[in-house]
Amino acid sequence: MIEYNNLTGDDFLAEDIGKTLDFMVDTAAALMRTGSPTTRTETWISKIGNKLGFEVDIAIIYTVIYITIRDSNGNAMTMTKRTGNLSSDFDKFIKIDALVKKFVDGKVNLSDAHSQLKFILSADFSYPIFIRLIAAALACGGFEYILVGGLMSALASMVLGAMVYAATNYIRLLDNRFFQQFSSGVIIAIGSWILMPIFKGSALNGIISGSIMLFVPGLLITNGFSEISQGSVISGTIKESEALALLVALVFGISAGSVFVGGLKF
Amino acid sequence: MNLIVQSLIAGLASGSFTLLYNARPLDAVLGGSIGFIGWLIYSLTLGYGMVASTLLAALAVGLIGRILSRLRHIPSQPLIVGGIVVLVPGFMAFKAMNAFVIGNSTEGTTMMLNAFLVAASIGTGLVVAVAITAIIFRKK
Repeated sequence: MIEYNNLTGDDFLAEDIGKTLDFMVDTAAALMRTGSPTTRTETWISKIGNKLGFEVDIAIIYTVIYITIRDSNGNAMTMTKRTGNLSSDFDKFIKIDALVKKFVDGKVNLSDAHSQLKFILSADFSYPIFIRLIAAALACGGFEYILVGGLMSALASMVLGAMVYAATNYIRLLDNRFFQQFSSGVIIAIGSWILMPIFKGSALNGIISGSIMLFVPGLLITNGFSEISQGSVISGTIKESEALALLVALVFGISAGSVFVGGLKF
Repeated sequence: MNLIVQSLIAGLASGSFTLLYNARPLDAVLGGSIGFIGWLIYSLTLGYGMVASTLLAALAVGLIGRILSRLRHIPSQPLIVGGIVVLVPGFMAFKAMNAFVIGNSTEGTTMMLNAFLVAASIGTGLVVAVAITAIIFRKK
């Protein structure tokens, strides 16, 4: 029997079906957690299985992954995994994608690929907080300027957007996205009421429109539609539903926040 | 001139947005550049209606993103996100939901429908871009 550590696609033995499935499930979960589209993940995971001589059936329904592999003798194994919250980390996504490509091209064996995957997932490649805050400020200010207009409103949005981003990303009171959206809405409503007189000439409509841009699920709505049109109907529909829930939470948060400051008219 | 300035700001905003999702600096710059082009096309074709102009901009963003990702041997998602983030109807969807909350259901329904149409046009533009690039690269 060939040792697991020396396995490549050409000399695979059926005994390692479990280890293969482990790698496939972990890779699928990693890709989904770092922002890979559903269809791309399904394609890559099928290629991994095919490379090792398996027939693969994979279904990714939003946060749940189902994979069944079958060898040439008809032995089959199925594994299910829940991925938890989906987010985007493009750096990790690109690295995992490159690793899968290397594996499919036969440049790395199964064992090494699996340990490299674990290394990529455990490493922290995120930017320092001040760079993230500057990026959040530039994004909010820029969106305000092009969508609504007004220099002072854009400046106020930059300040408020960075503050809310810091509050929701670095002070994690609850790991609950709905609550995060709601509390962001409350902070935005109160913050815009405080900042409007400080930034003379700014408009409430402008400040709020800029600062909410990091929290409105516009990307989720668009990705949901893309997935529906590419055949992942259930996954896409669930994304649309989640986007609606997040949007409701944000708007309710702003409404609740405006009550504290005696009502906002925008 | 104003259009160029606006597009540059759109590019800056979309590049910054991709940084928040941990894109490496070069990818953020490329995402920002695609955002600049996307907003420029959107603004230039706005006369044909919001849905048509968004569709054209999304198609351009999808094509450029796919070609650049092919050249860089990376997935297209990080580049395309930078390009479409300025086009997505997030603010419109927010305004629609807000109209519902304050009791203005008619305005809310109209805005939500518009937001859905814009999201659908972005999705369509991207899917068409994927199909076109798949044909181009298959022939090579």
